[in-house]
This record gives sequence, C-alpha cells and structure tokens, in this order.
Amino acid sequence: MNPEHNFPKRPLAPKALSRFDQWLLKNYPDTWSARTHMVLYYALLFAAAFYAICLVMPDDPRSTSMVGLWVTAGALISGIGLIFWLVYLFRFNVFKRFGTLAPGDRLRNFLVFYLTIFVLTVLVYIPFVTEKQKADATFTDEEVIRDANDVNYCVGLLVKNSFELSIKIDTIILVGSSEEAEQKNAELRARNDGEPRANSTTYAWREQNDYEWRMAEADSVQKIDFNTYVLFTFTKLQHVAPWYSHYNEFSMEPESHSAYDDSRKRLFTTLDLYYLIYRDNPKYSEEEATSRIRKMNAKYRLPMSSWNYVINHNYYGIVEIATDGSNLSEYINRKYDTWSMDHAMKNIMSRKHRFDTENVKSLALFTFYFVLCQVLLLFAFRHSTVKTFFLSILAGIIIAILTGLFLAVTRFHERGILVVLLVYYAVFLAISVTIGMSRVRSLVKGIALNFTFWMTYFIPLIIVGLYYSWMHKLHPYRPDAPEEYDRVFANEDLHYALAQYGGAALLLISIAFLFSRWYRTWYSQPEE
Amino acid sequence: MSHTALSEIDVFLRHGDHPLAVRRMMDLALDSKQRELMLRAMQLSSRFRIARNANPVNPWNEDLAQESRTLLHELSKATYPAAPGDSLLMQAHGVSKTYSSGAFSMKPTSLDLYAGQILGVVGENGNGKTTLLRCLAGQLAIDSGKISFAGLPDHDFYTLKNRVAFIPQRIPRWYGRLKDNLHFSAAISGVKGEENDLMVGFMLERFGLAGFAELTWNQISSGYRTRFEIARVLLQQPRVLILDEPLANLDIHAQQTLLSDLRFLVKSAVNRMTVLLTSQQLHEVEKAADSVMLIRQGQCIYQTGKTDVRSLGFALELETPATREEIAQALTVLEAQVHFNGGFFTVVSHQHPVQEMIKQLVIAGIPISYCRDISLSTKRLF
Repeated sequence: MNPEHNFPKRPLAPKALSRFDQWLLKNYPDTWSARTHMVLYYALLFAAAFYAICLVMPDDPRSTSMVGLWVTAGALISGIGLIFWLVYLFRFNVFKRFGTLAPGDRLRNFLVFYLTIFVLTVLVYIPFVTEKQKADATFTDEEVIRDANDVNYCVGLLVKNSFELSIKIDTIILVGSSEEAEQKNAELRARNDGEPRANSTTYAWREQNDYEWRMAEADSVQKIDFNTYVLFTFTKLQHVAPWYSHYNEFSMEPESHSAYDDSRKRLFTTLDLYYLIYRDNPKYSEEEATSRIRKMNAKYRLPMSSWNYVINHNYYGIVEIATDGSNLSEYINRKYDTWSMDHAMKNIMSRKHRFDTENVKSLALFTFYFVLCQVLLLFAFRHSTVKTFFLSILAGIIIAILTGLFLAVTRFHERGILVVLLVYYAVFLAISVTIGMSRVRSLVKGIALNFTFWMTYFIPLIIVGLYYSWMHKLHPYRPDAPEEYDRVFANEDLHYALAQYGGAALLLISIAFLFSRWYRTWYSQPEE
Repeated sequence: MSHTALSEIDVFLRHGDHPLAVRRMMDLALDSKQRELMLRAMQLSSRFRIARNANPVNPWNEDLAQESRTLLHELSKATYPAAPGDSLLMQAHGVSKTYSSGAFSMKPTSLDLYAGQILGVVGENGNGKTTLLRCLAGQLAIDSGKISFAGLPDHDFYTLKNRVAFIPQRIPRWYGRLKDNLHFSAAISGVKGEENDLMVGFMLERFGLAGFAELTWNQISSGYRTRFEIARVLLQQPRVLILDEPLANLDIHAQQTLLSDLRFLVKSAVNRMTVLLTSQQLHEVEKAADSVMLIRQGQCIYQTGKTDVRSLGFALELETPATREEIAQALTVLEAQVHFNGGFFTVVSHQHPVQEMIKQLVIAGIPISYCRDISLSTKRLF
C-alpha cells in the first residue's frame, strides 16, 4: 500500500527527486503541475554535462570564437527542453479544473513559470563562461596590453624614418538641430565649390551619430569654445589593439567602454605613441626591436592560420612603403604580421570581458525581456481558451497592421504611437473591468483581457517615454545653453529604469489582485 | 442510517453477495471518517480482490469471512456523523436554450435537485438531454430562466463548477498515471498530505481500480476510464454529480455495480450529494433513480410525481416465440391490446393488472422468455 514503492520511471532521476515530486503532488498541486522542480533538476544535469563538454573541447583563446555554434547547440537543446516542459505543463492545470484557488496562487504560478523559463534560457550562456575561463587561465589583461604596447612601440620605432607623419585637423561646430546643421553644411560646401578642404569644418547636431564617432575616433580633441571642437587625427600608429573601439575624453558614451577602463588607460594610444616615438625620439636597437616583435609574433600567432602561411612564405612579396604613409598598415602587416597579433589579442580580450558589467547589463536586460515575453504568452494561454488565445494573437497582428497604416497615413510622430498604445490599453482595460457583469464567456472580453494582461508591464515605460518625448520637444538642445538640456534630462535613464521596476511591480500586483479574479470569472462563465 | 446499512451488509454476507457486502463496508467505513476503519476496509477489499483473481469461482474463504465479521463488528461500534437532511441543492426554473445555428431548441424546463437523490433524464438521441445537463453544469449559457445553487451567488460560476461535477459521455483524455491524476484531483480540492494518500488509495480500492493505478489512459479500457472519472470527481467532493450516459461504455455487470454504487454514494453522510444522469438504459435508470424525467424534442413531457401515466392503463412488455394472434387469443377475456415494435410485444389493458395478463398467458401455455411490468415506466411514452 506504500505509494513510495512505485515512482514513475524517469531517466537519471534519483528516488529523492521522485519522493519530492510525489510530496509536491499531494501537497502543492499547482506548483507540482508547473514541474519546475523537474526542469531545475534536468537543467542542472544538462548544465553540468554541457559545461564539461565545452570545457574539454579544444579552444585556443587566440582563435576566432566558435561560441556562436555552441550557443546555437545549447539553444536548440534548451528549446527542446522547453517544448518537453510545455507538453508536461499542459497536462495538468488547477485553474482549468476549477480547483480550490488560494489568494496569491496565480502570482506564485507566474513566478514559477518565470523561474523555469529563465533557467532554460540561461543554460545557453554556458559556452561564454567556459570560453572566458579558458582565456583567463591563459592570458591576463595586463599581459595582453603590455604586449600590444610593446609591439606598437617597436613597430613605430622601426618604421618612423620610412615615411612622413601626417596630422589631419578638423573643426566641428555644434548647432541646435539637424536642419540647421544641414543648412550650414550646404553653405560650406557651396563656399568651397563642393570640394572639402584639407582642414575641414563641419556643422553638427549633438544627436548625430556621425558627430559622436568623429569625436571618439580623433586622436586628440581640443575644445575651443562652448560649441566648437578641433579634432587632431594622426597617421595611425596603433597597429595592434586588444579591442575595436576608440576612446578619448570627449567620447560621448565613455560609460559604454567602462569595462576596459582600467586596462585601457595603460594601452598606448596613437597620441601616446607619437609622444613616445616622435617627440621623445629614443635611441633603439633595430635588432632588438625586431626580435621583440618576433617574440610577440610567436606568442600570438595561431599555428594553423592560413594567413600565417601567406606571411611566412612572403606570398605577396614585401611592398615598399609609400612616403606619405598611405599604405603603412599594409606594409607593416606584411613585414611584421601585425594583423595576426591584433586579431589574436582582440579574440582573447573579447573572451575575457564577456561578463563585464556593461555586457552583463545588456545580457540581463535581454534575458529579462526574452523570458518575460514567453511567460506573458504562456500565462495567458494557461488562463484562457485555446481559441481565445490564438485569436488574441491574430487580433494583435491585425491591430498592429491597422495602427501602422493609420500612423503612416496621418504622419504621426513617436508621441502619436505612444498615445495610441495608451488609448488601446484604456479600451482593453475598460472591457476587462466589465467581465464580472457578463453571464456568458465572451470572446471579445477574453481577447481584451489578454491584451490588458500583456500590456500592463509596459504602461509605465510608455508613460515615461511619452513624457520625455514631450520634454524633448519642449526643451531641444541649445548649444549656447547645454546645461539647461542636461538639467532637464539628468534623470531620464533613472526614470526609464524606475519605469521598468514599476512595470514589474504593477504587473505582479495586478496578477495577484486583478488578473487572477478576471481570468477566474471569465473562464468559468458558460459558453454561448 | 448506519443501522440500516449494517443490517444490509449482514444480509449480503449471509446470502453470499460478498462483492456488494465489501463495497458497502467500505462506504460505511468512509462515513465513519475513521482512518483505521478505512484502512481495514481497504485491506479487506484488497484481499478479496486478490482472492477473486486467484479463485474466480469461490473466492470467499474462511479468513475473509472472519475478517469481514470483525470489521462489521467494529463498524457497528463506530460513531457516525449525523446525515444531513435531503435539502434542495440546485434549482432550475424555466431554463431554455436555442443554439445560434437554430438547429435545436430546448423549451423552458424546470427541475429541483435534492441532496441524497438521483434524477434520471431519459429520451431519444438528439432530444436535448446533454444540452440540459450542460446548462445545469454551467457549461452552456441559457437563454431564459434561472439556475440557482444553494448558498451561491448567481454569478459565481467558478465556485459553481467547483461544486458541480460534470462527466461527459466522451471522457476527456488525461495524461500520466491513473494514480497521479487521482492524487492531483484530490489535492486541488484541498485533500492534501496523508489524507490525500488515504483517500486516493480508498477510491482506487472502492472503484476496483487498484490493479490499474500505475497504468495510463492508453492502457485501460473505456469502462475503467468511466470508473476512473467517477473516482476522480468524487475525490473533489462535488455536491452535484452530473453524468452524461455513464452506462454507455459499461458491461451489464458494471452497469449494475455503478448504479448501486451511486445509490450508496448519494446517501453518504460525509458528502451527501445529488446525482443527475442520462442513459438509454431506461429500466436500469428507472430502477436506480428516485425520479425520472423524459425529454422529447427539447421539452420535458414526463417527470416523476408531476405526470401520471396510470391513465394509460396497465402495460406488459413481453418477449415470446408465440405469434401476435396466439397472444391476442390468450388475452381475449382481458380485452387487452397487443402491439409489436419489432423486438417486444407490448400488451395494454385498462382494466386488468399485469399479474392477470401473465396468469392468462401461462394458462394458455404461451412460452415467455422475458416479461416486464412497464405500467409506470417512461418506456410507454417512447
């Protein structure tokens, strides 16, 4: 009679897990039916196996990362796991069996779904972890940067007398709007008969990408007055660098590079190299410099690289350097194989810094929304009829198409889209409120309820977006008063962050006190 | 009530109706709400089941007899909760329903469902029995009229569906092991922990499902699926149990067992409920139900206590190799009319009761292979 003697047969499942499964079944059927405990167990098994495989697979940190393949494999297996879970999930549903529901049950259900899909999603990141571990075990940040500085310095010394160093000087003048920038630039072009000058001037608007890039890419930037900057760009002296982006004190988004900040400060920029090589003009031994480069080359060159073959066998032959240095990079590369070193260093550093704060933030945000969208769909499916759920999806597509057409025809701005979304939400919410008054399970009300549920999280974000959209219209950037602009928008990022937290809180509270009741009332109503 | 049950069990045991006696002892043990008695009853049932498997002809041995006597003695000493009265549980007044296609319309129908009673709904296929049941179960919206459940506000359909269990003719597929489904159903109704184990084990034994506990949907027959479904909904302790054609998938023996079980269950002191069922097995339903309702073309044309069929005279249903002329000849003195529906003869007399008709037939030497008094049966209205 002891029920523990006969557990369902599950591969690799210990008796303790089966015992726990049965305990949940008999005490917490809602949680049991979510099968989160099983997903967690099998996810743990898979994670251990996947981790071990990724760890033992040969992977040279200097080579191009194959993590995409591993992530795809992990995602496919995780997707299969998700499908299995959904199949099991749809077998039992306390809500649709009209079981006894306690207050807060739906909220717990939502959180359990979230946890399950989250676990299945983060499994995919395992290859990133093993890649980082392998790179960390082989190279340190300081080592790579020291080597890059060494290569750039030695190469600079060896070629400094072979060409004439050039310095390009540009001026950027900030104006208040894109229209004004366009107009001023047109005037400039007309004045120069359409030909750019050697030392060019550009009128730029603060929010233009081009402006940001030019500021960031310059080797040196001098601020002349409140809206005028002079940009100095030297012949490229940094031939090997462990990362792609450029950085100087006027970079518009320095925080986005913060992951590299500590080490970046020690990496010689072109300006540093100019000072070290041209200004200080040190004495050096050509033999020693060449030997140091060869040593680095041996350290970072991949043994099987086809490019190495080309270089080592002088496949193309050594080219002569042009006096103006226009083919400097190609010349240096063919002579010293800098591209291989540059490539290897970038590969190493990108592996090592996958989980830096900024990357983790982006990954966390992506994971949060990816999981949230799935849970919103799943929760709605579990609490409405199959027909209503799929008609809700169809209705969503049709509404999106019609709204898009309407906005295109009426030439609505971003604010218009946000206002339309708020109007939709108000309409869906109003329909959902009337569910309790009905004696029949209405398809329209079910669809409206699903939309209300899906949109609730995003409402604070939409409101903040609308607010800042208005504020940008009311307080445009003025080059003569940038502090006013900065003051008004000082807390914009904070407010967007708060809107996300607020959306989550609003959704969870609504599930506990509104959606659980509305879905309960709607689903139990008789059919037409 | 328990005294009646105890004496019934004693009679069953003395006359060798052992399966019935064991089931009845289980019901009584359940009514006692005493865990020890329930476990003992389950043990007796389990041993009897094993004995039947080993010796189908004569399974009742001295050990079982001794065990049953001991259990009966303990059941007689146990205290039982007072059975609640047969109060009105559910009421439908003027309920009508027309499908949007307009293909079928159920006319205004009224009925009262009392605790401890069985209402049988009979009628030909496509006449609205299932529509009525689905309306009462809160599955179909009604066009007019009112359905009320004692103690529930009108709009609370979720609680209504929690208390009214509906078992459709085509039982929805379930997944996983039979036993786990029962544990789940009990747990979602608040029967948790050790009580869950006890109740599921009890229901498995009570409905003869113990040997199938580990099996899945595909591994059991449709008859056992019906039993499973009944066990499942009973674990949820509904106040109203609605069954649509529950006898359809059962053999004759299983039909009798189910109907007698239902009769016991509605009278349970633990969960006194009402049962509403439809069936084509007219006589079986009439035998088990406290009242019968006949629906034709969406309209109730007969309801026990509200319609009188006595005015139609006495009627005998008869199966015989004799010809219609021979039967008419034998019954000439009774002035009876003889009808033939292709299978049975129906003999109707306005003056003479059925006993006299049979007497005349026997005197005339008419061989009778089957006969039934259908004077008060709804079959006369078909």
